[in-house]
Amino acid sequence: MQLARRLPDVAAGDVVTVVADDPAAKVDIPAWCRMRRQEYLGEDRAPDGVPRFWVRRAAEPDASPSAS
Amino acid sequence: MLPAAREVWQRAVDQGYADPRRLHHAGRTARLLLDNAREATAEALEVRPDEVTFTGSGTEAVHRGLLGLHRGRSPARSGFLVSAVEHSAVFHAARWTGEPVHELPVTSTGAVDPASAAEVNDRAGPVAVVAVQAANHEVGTRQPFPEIYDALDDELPLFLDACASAGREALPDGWSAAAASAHKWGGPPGVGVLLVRRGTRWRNPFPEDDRVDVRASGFENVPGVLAAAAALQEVVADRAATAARQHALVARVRERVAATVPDVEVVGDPEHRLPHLVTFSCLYVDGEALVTELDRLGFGIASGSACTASTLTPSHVLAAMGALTHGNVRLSLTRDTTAEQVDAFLAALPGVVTDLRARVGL
Repeated sequence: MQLARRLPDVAAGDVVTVVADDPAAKVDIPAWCRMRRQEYLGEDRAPDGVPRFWVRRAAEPDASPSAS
Repeated sequence: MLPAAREVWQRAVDQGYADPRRLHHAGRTARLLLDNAREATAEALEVRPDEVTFTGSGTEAVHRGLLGLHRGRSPARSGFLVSAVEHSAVFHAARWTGEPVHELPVTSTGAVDPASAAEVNDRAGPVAVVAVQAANHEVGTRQPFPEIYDALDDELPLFLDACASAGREALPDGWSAAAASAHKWGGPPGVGVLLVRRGTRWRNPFPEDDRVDVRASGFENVPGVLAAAAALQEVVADRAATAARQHALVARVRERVAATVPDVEVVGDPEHRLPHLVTFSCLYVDGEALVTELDRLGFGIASGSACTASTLTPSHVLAAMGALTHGNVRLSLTRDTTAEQVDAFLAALPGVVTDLRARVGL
């Protein structure tokens, strides 16, 4: 959700990293990228050992939640 | 429980209370009722009566089926192949042996991929048992059986968890042992069915109990198994019509949810699935909040309503499919669910999702 709020703040093509210790993040961040058509780049670990996920903002369509 | 099952159960409590191993009149009556239940169950599941064992639950049938095949293995074999979307009871039972458990990966619809299954099988070496469910309990996807079987070692016995599908659909072929659960088809709680194919190397994994059936233990629940058999007969008798109706209603749910709710994903196979079950995931929505809101509007677990819904947090099934594990709702139609109830649910859902998203600022 933080990812959805913040992604519009970065330029298309820029990369965002998400640091999350929630075990569901490993599944949910790639799933979010697929559903929102953003590019999921992969996972590694931050220096303190917490999982870190890399996402590149797509040019189109807008990553912000649909108006509904 | 189906009304027919309740009636049978009440009558059987009066007539089938005795120990079916005793030779007095009441004991012989109980034995007769037990044998009748076994024959009716065998006929409905299209197996032989001597392949049917009644257990205390679907979980117990899973334990005895899976572990009994494992105990009957040849000495050169050890460990398990288990599909990644099996019920947790299968995983727990396999791990309980302390032997390696190799997961068979699934596609995004939840079906085992035969090519990956063949690779895992080669890498794992000669395992004792492969466990694959008939259809998934969360997303409804049916497993592609002949293809999975072709991908694996010919000597490998298959344990089939049929708890989600038994009664609603015929069992797929090729299993050595299988498990089913009576409450899933409208029977009473506390009755499971273990099936062991004739000629299978199955050995009791637990202590023997000298009961009527050597594969079971404990005093036979005669009223329970009779009620289970009565419910099963009723479900099997009209399953073609029920399945056609439910399949079409679920197709409508799948289509309308995807069309009317933004940022939603309907999971599972759209066609090769159980007729009555559908799961979808909504981004930015807490699954529990969604269930609570829908329940408030009358769509919920309460009896007589259109559907039952439950959150799946975080589900290993959805994770194995790469589906969103948050904001999930599972809709399970009953035999009595009407098109009007489904339409009312579909009309209410988009507003509920919008409100919940608005509350968290999305």
